[in-house]
Amino acid sequence: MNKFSPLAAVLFLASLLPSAHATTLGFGTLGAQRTLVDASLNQLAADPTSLVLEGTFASESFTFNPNLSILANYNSIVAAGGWNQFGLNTSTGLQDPGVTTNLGVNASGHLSGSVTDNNSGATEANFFNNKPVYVWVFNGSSPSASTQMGIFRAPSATTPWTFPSNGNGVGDTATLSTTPTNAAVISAIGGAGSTNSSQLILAAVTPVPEPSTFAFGVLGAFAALCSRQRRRKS
Amino acid sequence: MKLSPQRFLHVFACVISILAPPAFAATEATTDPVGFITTSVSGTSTSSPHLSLISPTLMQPVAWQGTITAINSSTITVAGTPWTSNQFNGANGSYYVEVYSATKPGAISDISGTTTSTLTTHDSLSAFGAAGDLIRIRKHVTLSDFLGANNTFGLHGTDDPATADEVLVYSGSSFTSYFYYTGDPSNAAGWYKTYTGDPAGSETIGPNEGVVVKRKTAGSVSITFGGTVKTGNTLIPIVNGLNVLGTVSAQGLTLANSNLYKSDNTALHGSDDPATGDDVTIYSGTGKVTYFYYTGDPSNPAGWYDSFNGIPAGSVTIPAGTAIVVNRKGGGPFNWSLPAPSSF
Repeated sequence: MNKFSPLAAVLFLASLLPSAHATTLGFGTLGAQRTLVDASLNQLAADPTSLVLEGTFASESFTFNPNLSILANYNSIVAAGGWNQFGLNTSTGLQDPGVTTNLGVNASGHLSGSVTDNNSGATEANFFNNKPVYVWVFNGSSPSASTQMGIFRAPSATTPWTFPSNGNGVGDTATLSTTPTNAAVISAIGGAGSTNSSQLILAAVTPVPEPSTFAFGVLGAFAALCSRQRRRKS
Repeated sequence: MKLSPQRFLHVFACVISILAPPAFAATEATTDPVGFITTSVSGTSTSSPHLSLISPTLMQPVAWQGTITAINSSTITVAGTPWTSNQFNGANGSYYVEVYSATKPGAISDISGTTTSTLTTHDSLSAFGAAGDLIRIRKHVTLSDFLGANNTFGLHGTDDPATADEVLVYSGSSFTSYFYYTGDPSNAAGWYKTYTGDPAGSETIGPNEGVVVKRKTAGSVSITFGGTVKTGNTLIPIVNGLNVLGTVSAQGLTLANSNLYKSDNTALHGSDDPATGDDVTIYSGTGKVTYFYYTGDPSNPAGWYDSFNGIPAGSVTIPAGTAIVVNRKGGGPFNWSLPAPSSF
């Protein structure tokens, strides 16, 4: 990485760094961090397979429904909980310009990386000032590609799981932890997952078959039964 | 924040050749003075971290200096074959070159390649120098150089980055966060990137880069850094938006003599309104104060003023060892010609 760039690079940087304010929220990876595992307690795959979002809910009045797909759960929970994802414009839902993120799961199965929003508007980084942080984890690269998910929050952590206030742009950062000493209690919200002292565990869906699929299944079983009885008689 | 005013620059009238390793014994002699600066970083609590803005300010000794025979785009050529292949890049560490002359301020760029007589630079320096001008090559200051590979000065290191003191190295408005990890069976104690866990002791701190220490524990820490005084004016890039800048002046600066404002409009934008003028924020032991260059009125002459109470501020100091925040609100990027120290 270049550490010092005179005029030529200044012109380049100017197009990338338009704002004076930035908020960064990230997770530390070293130490006794909890490991992200799926419902079978297998460690989640590292980036880019697993999707991690950080944001905030207006309400925790939602419930994970294992009979629906992850995508359907996602859409339902976004609506019921008033979800806002950090880095997205809360009005348009589009990614704010200049947002940088490398948030994800590392090779050790830990939350890692950070998200930085350089935009200070009321529907941008400032919206999240001092709001509670929720982490939403999927075992796929998108909700539609996932079969499991978990929503986690640590309301009583020594280092509070709250977004930093976007004040003057310098040092407006928060580094969160999932270690049991710092975050003794991490809760899975709305039944989306579970936790223990060493793991954050995703919840799996077991979608109920569509009626037509169910009917075909019954007919198939009935046909197999008839066929078996016919063989016995003969 | 408490950034102690007690910063000491102790200059010994030594020559760098005394300090230079034997590998550089054949380089041309330099006489830059050396010394050290002590800066205090005060403490607070995990829930309300304290910010201190500091910078190495002093340099590594000059590894080589001489005359340019040709310069174009990203290549600088010197006479003879004074170097070995990759002497100033790669496994030998990160180096940068400064192009300057008696009349031209120093323009600096990282070195990405070395042959026996040429340097490849990250940026084109051809606009800042010509054949006959001079170059100086120095090794970058690393995080371990500045803060000690084993956390010499006792910043709060832990086994959990959420509770450790954080060290944010800013390049413009973007930064990388580091902390001192106390180690585990798989990872040795040392400096690591906070959000990725990558080892970071050899990460560099450029001459223009400011360091924000986010202290989360009680008690102050004194950080002492020894090195070489940077002589000659130095070009520091300033871009639109936020800039957290290290200051390479071992003498310290005042706002009035900093060259941050120039009447020819080649530096920060002055204004009759602090809301529209570019501003400079200086952190001190009791907090921070923001200043701007006022273009004047019949009752108040043009000059630097406190943005919020209108007190004249031309004599306000930017102490050696600190970093400042420059908020460029428009007008495009420019290179700040940071003045050379006149005494130490």
